[in-house]
Amino acid sequence: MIRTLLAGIAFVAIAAAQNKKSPADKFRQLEEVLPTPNDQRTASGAPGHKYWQQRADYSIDVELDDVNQRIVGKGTVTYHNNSPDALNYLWLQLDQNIWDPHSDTYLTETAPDWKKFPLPAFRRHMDDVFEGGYTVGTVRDEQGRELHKHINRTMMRVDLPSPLAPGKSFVFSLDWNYKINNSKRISGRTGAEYFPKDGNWLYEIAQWFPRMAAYTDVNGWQHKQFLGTGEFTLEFGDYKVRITAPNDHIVASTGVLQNPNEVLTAVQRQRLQQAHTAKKPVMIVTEAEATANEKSKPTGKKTWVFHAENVRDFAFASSRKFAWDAQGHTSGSNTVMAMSYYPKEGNPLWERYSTHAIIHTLNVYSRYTFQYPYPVAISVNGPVGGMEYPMICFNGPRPKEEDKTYSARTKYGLVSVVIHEVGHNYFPMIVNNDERQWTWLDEGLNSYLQYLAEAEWEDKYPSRRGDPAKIVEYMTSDSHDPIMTNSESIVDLGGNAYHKVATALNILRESILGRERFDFAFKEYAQRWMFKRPMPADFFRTMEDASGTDLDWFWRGWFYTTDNVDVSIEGIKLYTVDTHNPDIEKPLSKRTQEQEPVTLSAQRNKPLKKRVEEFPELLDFYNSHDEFAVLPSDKKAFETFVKQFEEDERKLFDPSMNFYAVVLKNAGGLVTPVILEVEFSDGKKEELRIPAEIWRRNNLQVEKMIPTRKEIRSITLDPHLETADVDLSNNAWPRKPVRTKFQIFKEDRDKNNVMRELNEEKKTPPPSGGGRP
Amino acid sequence: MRLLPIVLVCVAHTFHVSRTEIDLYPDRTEIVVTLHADDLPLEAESESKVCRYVLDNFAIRDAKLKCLGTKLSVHFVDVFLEGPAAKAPLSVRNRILSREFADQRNIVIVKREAKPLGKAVEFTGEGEWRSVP
Ligand SMILES: [Zn+2]
Repeated sequence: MIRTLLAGIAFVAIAAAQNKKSPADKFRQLEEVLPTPNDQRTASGAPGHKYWQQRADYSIDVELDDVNQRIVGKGTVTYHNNSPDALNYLWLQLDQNIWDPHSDTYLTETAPDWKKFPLPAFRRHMDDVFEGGYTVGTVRDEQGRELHKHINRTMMRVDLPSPLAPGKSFVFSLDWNYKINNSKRISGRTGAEYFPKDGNWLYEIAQWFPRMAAYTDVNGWQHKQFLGTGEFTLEFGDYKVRITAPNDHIVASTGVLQNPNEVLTAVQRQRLQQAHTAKKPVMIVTEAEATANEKSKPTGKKTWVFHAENVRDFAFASSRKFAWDAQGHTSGSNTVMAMSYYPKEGNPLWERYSTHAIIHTLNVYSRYTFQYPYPVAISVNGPVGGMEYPMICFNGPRPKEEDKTYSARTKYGLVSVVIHEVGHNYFPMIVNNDERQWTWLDEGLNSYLQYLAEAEWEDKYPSRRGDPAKIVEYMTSDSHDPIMTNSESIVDLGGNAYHKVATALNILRESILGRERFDFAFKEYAQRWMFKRPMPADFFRTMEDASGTDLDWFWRGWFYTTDNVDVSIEGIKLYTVDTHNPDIEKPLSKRTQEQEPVTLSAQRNKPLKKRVEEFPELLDFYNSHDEFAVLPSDKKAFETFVKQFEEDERKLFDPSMNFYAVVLKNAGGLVTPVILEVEFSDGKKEELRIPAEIWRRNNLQVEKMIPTRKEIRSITLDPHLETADVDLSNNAWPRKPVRTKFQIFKEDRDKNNVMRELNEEKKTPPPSGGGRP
Repeated sequence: MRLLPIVLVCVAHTFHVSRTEIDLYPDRTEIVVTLHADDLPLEAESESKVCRYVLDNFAIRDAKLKCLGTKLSVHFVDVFLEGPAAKAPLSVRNRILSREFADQRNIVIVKREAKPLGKAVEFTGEGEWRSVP
């Protein structure tokens, strides 16, 4: 109907554009890509009615050899076969074997740029080879009979005397030992740090025992070797671990200390008691006590006993250098001890920020997922830059050694890394995704929640990841991979599995689903998969199922391609209503014609003497006819036209209505919501938020109609920088120059110079609190 | 020769990379070098040291560059250089942080009046002059 009312010519052009076929349907369903739902994993993304997972309980005695930096362990594993399958053998993971001199990690390392072999790296390579890797002793069953074992690089197969039937358990024991890596030479997720000034070591110990490989409904035994990037795929279980260390060490560990009377002093126990209900962190071992302890020589050994329930891994730290603070925190009905352990080198940063950051993380993350279920949450300072384990994590940032000052970068680096690593308790320690395959499923979700927690730490927190504008560089870089890339194959892991995912989820929350729907669905995912093992499809499906929104286009674009968001306003067209009323239309046409530009030749020809002026008899009807005059036939035609419409329909023929069409081109490939800020000639602004489905028939170019009685002065696309549009230079109509970084710098500098001159006499106050401004 | 792996730790920025945008104008050349502040072998807060470091390690042949200053935004440092007018392709040397990190990549993008010219060029070697874009 409105079609007949619109001025014709331009319309034909649009119709042609809209009929042009896009190269692919970006909204087609993902069912051809995702695994078929089954009894273990439903189409809604939930665990199915026959969901199962294996379980492994460990009882371990481990000794930390502080003289030779070795781990010596022996233990018993009780493996529960909850699968419907009989198992002929078990696989274990020997992660330490990436440091075996013959490991695939070394063998598959590609060559550096030979012309510029960096000196520190070269020196390291020329050093003695680090004899890392496990020595594993005899594996025995419960009766003490030897079991055949076979080591395949970072994995070990134990052959069972008879198949392990579904529902049955198998108990076996083994012993092992290895040399701990000195993190100065080989850094990693675990290691020992030597402090030459006081001659002491600090240990952060992880991947320290043969761990059961996962056997799953998706992959059977996890058989992807550990190469160093794809982290861990693990089973839940209960742990009883006895850690023997020099008797002047303080040990921090996954789990709850079972024998405080044997390993802690009366004063330490009393301070711990106090800490349970304290309003701020209480020192259990003060920095002064820790510093005094540095001079101690051990007179024997102490065994610390820790029990942990329903964890997928176990890690600990040990040193005579540790100061220790603690504060009780209530998470729902659960009381958690938040604790930090650090050498004096970590202060003044650590005593001020670490435990606060732990509690802050538990508060924020629990709100978006589930109540923190474990009894402790620990942050340790040592050689590892940032790495997570159940209930405990290792974090690197420290102030400068010389003067104990620290930059803003170090301060926020510490707060962020504590939030991030404590946050990993939720993903992947409790929502136990398969990291060997999909780094993003925990790193990305965790980086997203980290961004939310940082926003609640202080205003304008300098978050590195989460803001859409910050991902633009990665989205346009050569190292851009699809998020759905295996952990080991990603070129820029930080940009991909952390940054891009955090940003995509932020966009999904703020600009596509809205906070309420997103938060509900995200929480649903966390709670469905708490203490279970989700796969990417379970996440995609749950987010759609619980938000009531088809997001296949979003997963397809953001997770399976390297397209980016780049929408361009190509132009704007104006249509008005053709009233067919000659009294309105003819004068309008006349005006239009009069407004057409006069060509240069016509202007110059104007004064020339014309023949018809000399011979007026040459003038006829056509010379005097006014083509815009309203003729009786025009009026008649209008009357006939009007008769087709009812009285109320005739009112619609309002010539003051403007129909604008904004021409939008998708240059980046990703389909995206279109956010338009429309400014009218009266100065008022209106925001139009259009869902991504506007691109469903043509994902290359669309036109959006904006009907208004006002005149549009300008249009800005993505005015709040919420869509990660990679090119802002085509986001305005009429085009506006985009200020370059350089221009902004120069303008700011000029402003600052004025300020500096004005303030010349005033002295800037010294920075407070030990920080460097 | 056996190479020891660089094992990536979970949170660190796992990539040693700098990004340089060279923007050509009829009367001048504007250059912005962006670095991870943590990577610098000196105090990122010191404008003069950062300027000197970048001028020592980044050059356009036959162009005398001037460092106008730096801007530190917690994790990143932007370094602003200015030079005389130049014509693409340029002969550039970029050895920023390449002695410090085996995996350092220095990406250079050339623009004319803020519009990119050609593809980004990646420097992984130390010291060579290369033609960009
Ligand atoms: Zn992480």
